[in-house]
Amino acid sequence: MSASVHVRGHRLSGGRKPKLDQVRNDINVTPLVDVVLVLLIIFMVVTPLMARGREIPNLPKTRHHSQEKDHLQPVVAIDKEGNLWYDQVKLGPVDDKSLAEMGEKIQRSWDAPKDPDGAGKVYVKASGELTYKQVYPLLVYLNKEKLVGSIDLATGEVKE
Amino acid sequence: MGMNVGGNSGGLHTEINITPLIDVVLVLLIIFLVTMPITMKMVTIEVPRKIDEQVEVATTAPIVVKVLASLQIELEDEGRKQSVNAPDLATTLRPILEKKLSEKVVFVDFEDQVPWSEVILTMDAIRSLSPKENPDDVKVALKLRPDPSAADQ
Repeated sequence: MSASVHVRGHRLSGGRKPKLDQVRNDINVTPLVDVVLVLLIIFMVVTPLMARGREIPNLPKTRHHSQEKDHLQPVVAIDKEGNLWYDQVKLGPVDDKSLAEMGEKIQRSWDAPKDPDGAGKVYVKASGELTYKQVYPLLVYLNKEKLVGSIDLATGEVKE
Repeated sequence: MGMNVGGNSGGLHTEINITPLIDVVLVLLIIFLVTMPITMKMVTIEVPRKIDEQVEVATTAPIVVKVLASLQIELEDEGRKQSVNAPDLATTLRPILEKKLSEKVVFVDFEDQVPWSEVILTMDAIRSLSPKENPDDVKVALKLRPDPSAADQ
């Protein structure tokens, strides 16, 4: 479309035949842009899906955390209302019943681990707005009932 | 004539300059590619089991950091207690830990009303004492309360 206007413009003004290199001097970047945009959209869609478990908006932020590869271990979370989540499933307020249900799900995940390194591990996400009292029962349960010796507590990164 | 001029100027650059757009999009793409390998950010807390704990207590007197609801910190080392302000925790702990030749373990305990963000910050401060080449040198361990169902000691 624009190319024809371009050529006609030259014809009208100059009245001369356009030189070969005047017709199109630059590379056609449209396919490149298409591909890049599609890639970008794919990444934008996939990235949030990769963060596993219930999303907890304000994880406490740290500087000296360790970064480990995802071993597909079970992810449990406590949101700021104090509700317990296993992955994306809401189990209700933290009490004996919800903890037992979580324990069963964790056991099932460990018994058929998608990644052998993930067996015996739990990743715990807890909102920074909670108090220690609200999270402590979960830590004790994991230790006493599930015999987890070291619990991984989720943190965010301090952004400067 | 006037029309000619109009056609001329229009013919020079009818398309939008997309180069800056490509620049921006490419940079965004690179940012996403870099952040892509999903890593889980975590601080690990050791929770000693009953048997381990007894062994631990028998061999060495543990360093215990207790955060009060007022966010004042009580530091206990070999039976000596001292009160520390939260920002000074790392500087106070450093010489104590350097004396320890065996495994460097700091037990942490918190009062009920301590915010979870403060719990993690305290652990972060303790972990900051590990040398860079071995970030898991100093271990943080949870001090279990005698009765887990009890709210506080």
